[in-house]
Amino acid sequence: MKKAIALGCLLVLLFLSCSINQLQDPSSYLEDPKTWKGVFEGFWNGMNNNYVFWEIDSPEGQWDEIYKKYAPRFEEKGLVDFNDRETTKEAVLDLFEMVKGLHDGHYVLTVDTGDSISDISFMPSAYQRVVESEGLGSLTDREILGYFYDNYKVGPAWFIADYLNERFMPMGDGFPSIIDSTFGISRPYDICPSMGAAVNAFWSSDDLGNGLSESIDKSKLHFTTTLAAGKSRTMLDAYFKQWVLIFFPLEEDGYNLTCFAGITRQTVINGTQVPENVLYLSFSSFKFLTHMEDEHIKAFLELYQNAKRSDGTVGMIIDLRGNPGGYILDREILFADLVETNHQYSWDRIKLGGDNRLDYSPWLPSYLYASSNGEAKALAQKPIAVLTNSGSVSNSEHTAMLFKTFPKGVSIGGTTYGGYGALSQSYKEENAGIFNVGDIITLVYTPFCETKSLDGSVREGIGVPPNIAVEYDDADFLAGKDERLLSSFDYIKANI
Amino acid sequence: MGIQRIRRFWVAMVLILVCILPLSAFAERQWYAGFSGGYVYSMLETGTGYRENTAYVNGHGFSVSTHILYQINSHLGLESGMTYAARPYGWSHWNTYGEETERQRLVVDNYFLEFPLSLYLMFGNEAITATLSIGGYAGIWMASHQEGEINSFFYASDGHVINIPFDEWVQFSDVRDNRLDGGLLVRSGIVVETGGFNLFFRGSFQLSLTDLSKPYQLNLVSRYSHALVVEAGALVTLGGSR
Repeated sequence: MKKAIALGCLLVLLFLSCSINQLQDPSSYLEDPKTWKGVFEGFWNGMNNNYVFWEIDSPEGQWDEIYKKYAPRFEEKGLVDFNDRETTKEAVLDLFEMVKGLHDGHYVLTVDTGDSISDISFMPSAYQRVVESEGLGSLTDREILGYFYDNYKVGPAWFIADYLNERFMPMGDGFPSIIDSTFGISRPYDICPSMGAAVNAFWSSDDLGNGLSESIDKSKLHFTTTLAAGKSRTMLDAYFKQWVLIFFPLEEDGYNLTCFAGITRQTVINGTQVPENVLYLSFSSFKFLTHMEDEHIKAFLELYQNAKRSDGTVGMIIDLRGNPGGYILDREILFADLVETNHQYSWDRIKLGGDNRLDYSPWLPSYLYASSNGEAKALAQKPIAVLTNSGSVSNSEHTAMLFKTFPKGVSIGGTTYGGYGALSQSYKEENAGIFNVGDIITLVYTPFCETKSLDGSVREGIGVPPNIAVEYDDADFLAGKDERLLSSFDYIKANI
Repeated sequence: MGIQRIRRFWVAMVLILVCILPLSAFAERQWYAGFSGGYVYSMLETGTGYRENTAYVNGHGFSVSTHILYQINSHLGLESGMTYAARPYGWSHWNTYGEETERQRLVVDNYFLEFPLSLYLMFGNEAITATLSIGGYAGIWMASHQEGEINSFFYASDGHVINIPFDEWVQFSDVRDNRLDGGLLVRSGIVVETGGFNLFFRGSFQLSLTDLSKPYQLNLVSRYSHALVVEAGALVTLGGSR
């Protein structure tokens, strides 16, 4: 009997001695001297713990297969030596190859290659669109990645803009090409002598900005653009009986905010009847949050809010083509008064309760919060068209999903980009998302949050399909015939 | 790691049976049946690694059990039965990037149906007996409930942070969740015979050998749900040759 007790105690001690796997910080794999195997281990494990889309990107352990395939290849590469250009290129291409199939629409992998000019960034979603639109032909994946590596320009966005024909990317200064082509407004980029020093604000009520809100410091306005007296003003006045247009340079991130709101006249554009009193809204990105105290933005929002809450407004068009997204809170700033109670439009989840790939929170409802008193609730019952294309990303896609749940809300145009995730500053903030591997992989840009639509589908990397699909025609668009916009006027007219 | 532990668990169970079964040859047979209820101090064994802004917290649960005791002689018996136990734990994460704030909080209540089997040793007299049990248990992870709150990434338009609470039963994943439960068991207590009942009070330690996660990925962080149990119950004599 004593032996049995002793045996039991022995077994207990034996089992207690088993250890638990402890995760390492991705950067901790890069000990001196730095090796490519260390870079690989830090990256693979960092992704393993901090990437949020594993259920769709590794449903049967594909990420483990990648480890088994690439670990020996990085082992062979030895020490990180940027003077060895061939090995550096091969290592970076291996990293790109590991992630080229990911669904994450925001994902960007930025690697130091020893180039004195810049690190190199790879965006799998852009790569996938190139392959989709151009076809591989006789080129292998590796050869395409090699071409990309050899011809890299700063920033991954050019890669999309060069290969797609929807003219959806905001221009370098954040000016949506929609406003440019459809309404014939020249971009201030070429004509403003001191970019970043002046705000261009225009109201239908006055050529030179007189009659703006009294609080606006007019000394900061820049009036010497062609808009003030040129063709653009004439066109805008022909379409809209009241409008406001702001070009707002945001110096700190090199991105500008352009926003336009107008109330239509009864008119005809390209043979299409435009109903009176449709509120048209377009903005280059969701960047209002950090500029809410700006006088111009305040004045813009005042006109927009008044129009939204007016009984005379018959419907609304929200033009999100080329809008890459931005602050989540902007959705509340722009639309919260349309609802009286919190309005669910999708589901979100994050990594929670553990660090394994499938340790998720429950799917939680994502709302448009009714933080005001529903002053514009009447408009929510009227026809609302959200214009989208493949350049509508992130918050634009959330907004499209939101309005599709309204009684007469639809999206019109093309399928969106497919990057719904929300981003934080670092994995340290929300338990997943952005990380780096020392100073070699300087940034893995990835969300901490996954979204699915109310019908239960996760459309990351796929995009929101429009209710009313309208083919894009580049020649027509450049000639000023915007079929997608015209279709939205048709929809509003038919549903008033 | 998980597979290794399971293999060791079965080896241990076989060893225990090999030790016990020959003893029944000189049995002074007596059967008892009973029930008990208890408090569970649930301890999750896992690792947070470099997540210095993450913490696990032990939880407080309960157990209800039925017991069958087969007494072989005045010092030795075999005990089995069925236990339904809640072994909860907590988890929280706080932001350390900027201002330190709690961002996510979670309490997981895991419920298990277990079938223990142990060697039951008795020392004492007719009125009061000290007991020691050593054995194992096998069971099923029956259900999981999670309750918690997520802060910070939903906002109202006036800028205040929205807290999203949740309180729901977990839908098990065939890929992620290992619902087979098993481990080792050590119990110690006293039995008091009064009015035809054998009242018992005892403490137990359950060492889980089964990971709550299936080995579905490389570098898996295992989670073992151990428990300290304090319980009270009663046994009645069913009959035998005593």
